[in-house]
Amino acid sequence: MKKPREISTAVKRSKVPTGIEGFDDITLGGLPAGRITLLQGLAGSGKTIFGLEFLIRGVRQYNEPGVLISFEETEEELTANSSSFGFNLQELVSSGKIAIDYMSVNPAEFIETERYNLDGLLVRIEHAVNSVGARRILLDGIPALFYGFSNASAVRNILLRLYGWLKEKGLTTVVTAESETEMIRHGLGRSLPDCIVLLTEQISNKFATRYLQVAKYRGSLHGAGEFPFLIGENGISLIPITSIQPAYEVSSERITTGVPQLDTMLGGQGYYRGNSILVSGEAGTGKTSLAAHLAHAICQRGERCLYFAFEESEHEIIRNMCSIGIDFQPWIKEDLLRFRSSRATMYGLEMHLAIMAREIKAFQPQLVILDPVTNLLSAGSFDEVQAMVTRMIDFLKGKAITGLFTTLTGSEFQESPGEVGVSSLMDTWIVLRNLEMNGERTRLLNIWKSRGMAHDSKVREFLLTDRGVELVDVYAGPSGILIGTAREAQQERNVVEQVRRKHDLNKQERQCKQRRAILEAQIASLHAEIEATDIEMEQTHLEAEQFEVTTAKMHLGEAKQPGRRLERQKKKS
Amino acid sequence: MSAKKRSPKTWKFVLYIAGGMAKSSSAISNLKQICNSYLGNDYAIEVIDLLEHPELARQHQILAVPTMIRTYPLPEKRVIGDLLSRPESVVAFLDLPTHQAQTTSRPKRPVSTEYNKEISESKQGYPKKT
Repeated sequence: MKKPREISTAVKRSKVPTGIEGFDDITLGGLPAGRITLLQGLAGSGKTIFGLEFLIRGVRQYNEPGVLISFEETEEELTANSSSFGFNLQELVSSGKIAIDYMSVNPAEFIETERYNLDGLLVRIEHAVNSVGARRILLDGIPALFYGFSNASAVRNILLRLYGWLKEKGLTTVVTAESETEMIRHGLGRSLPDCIVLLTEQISNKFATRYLQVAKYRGSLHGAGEFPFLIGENGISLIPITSIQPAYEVSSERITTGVPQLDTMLGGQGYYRGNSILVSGEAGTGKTSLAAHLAHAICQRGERCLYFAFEESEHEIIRNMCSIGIDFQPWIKEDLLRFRSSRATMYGLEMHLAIMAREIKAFQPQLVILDPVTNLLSAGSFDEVQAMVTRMIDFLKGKAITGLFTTLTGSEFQESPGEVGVSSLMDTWIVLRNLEMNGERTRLLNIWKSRGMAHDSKVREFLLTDRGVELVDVYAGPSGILIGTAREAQQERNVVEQVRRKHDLNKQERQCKQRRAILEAQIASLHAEIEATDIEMEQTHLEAEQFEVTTAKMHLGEAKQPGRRLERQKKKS
Repeated sequence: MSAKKRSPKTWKFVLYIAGGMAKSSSAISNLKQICNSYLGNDYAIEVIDLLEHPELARQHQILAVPTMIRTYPLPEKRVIGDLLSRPESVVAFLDLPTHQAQTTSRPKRPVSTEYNKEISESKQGYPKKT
């Protein structure tokens, strides 16, 4: 069996977008232009749908007419099948954009003699291509030729001529086959197609998930690995969760948590936009309530929130959150908040991931909540869930969407691996705990970590009131840490103590005042005494002076006369 | 290419070929040979070249060339190839009236020298299928 010769590679290597959601991303542009792509997968793996989309989107989105050569399904069957994916194939056929040729190869319809070839195939394909001026062609179910005609070398011969002709014409070709061995057996090995796309279906934990893998792409980078895909009402959608370029811009914008006290604990401003937040806790610790607060806060800003609930239904959550004073109804009415409730056991993990990614792409929310992630453990192993969460975080970060994940920890599972497993991926980790003490249960909140921001590492008491979540400082006093009723009792004692102290203080103040008044009175009387003494002393002085004066006068009277005589004598003279 | 107008009972055959290949021309002569042997003159053969009428290939579901279709009597019957290598099965498949041939004690193989020449040629080039 000779290997088919490669046609000259002088043809410019460019790509033809398929228009299939996600596929052009992982192939960085689409299928090799003017080349052959082998689409390989078992029956029911989605080959024909892929091919149909390639043709139909080619016409619709890129104005490239196409030809569909089918060896298995008739035109009526193809039309019916495509209409279930929202494609009106009939319309494209009648408007001359797509030509369909069903090649019946039922060996029961004829008998063979020797010496024939299959030139009719080439004649028909050429005619179909020319009739619409096709740029794209799908050859679906070629191996049927080998079952229809016993002369395998005639089939191989015509196929090699066909491929040569297609390349020469520069038609972008998709060929389907069930398996590679089938193609090799037919002499159309790996070297012929420039691109090989594998479609598989894998069953794990009883869930079937479809995967697409680009196994070969000559001369081009492409996303490696298996990408889960969905076949939905809009055809195939491929969710390249593992992005090829993992670089994403980070935001330094902060968003409120919806709980003022929690904002304070997180450096006063709340979470970073685009961060991933983990809220872990046992059953009934208030994880959903905390998530609801954030959802409420986001909606208040006029942004959108997509809430994936794996435990409760939309109505349950709405009703329950009403009891803590959060009314989601207006946000739902304004389409700012969407709930997507599903049982974890409904699909496999990949399917969950793919569906979530599709919903996110459609709704473009600023916040995504997964509540609780640990429920997905019923759809996959721990490692798988962890891998899924990692990819989800990657996906959300790539879109600068804030993600809040809750995980259930607690006594029913032993040591919680889920918590430890995903926590390292998270930017902020809030741990909620139940503490049973003194015959009561108290909720506690603690910020375990919060990357890139100052945060309060003190444990707070977490109260669910009819006005929402409230955080209360726990009482740390000389007798240790007190919470719950004990804290309340201590708080009461503190109040009584305060009142008593105040009372005491008042009393003391009064006493002091009194004493001061007494003292002041005493001072006043002493002053009076001093004054009296002073007056007395003055009196004494006065009296003493008067006495002196009197005595002096008396002495003066005796000595006066001679003096006067002298004076008189002087005057006379 | 040639279609003789006959009575309504006339057997009708259409032979699809692509270009004037040796295989096609031998198929024409072989078909004529068989018809002559079994149907006398009561047959009509139409030869269509798909290169000239490619749309007919799709319309009549032709892949292999040469393809011979018995269009009358119904139902349609198809034989692909040169009609040479398995004459008995071709005759049986086409329900050709064997009484005519039986009266002339039909040999295992057609007697035409031309035909025999073809057989020997084909034996050399194409080992007979088992």
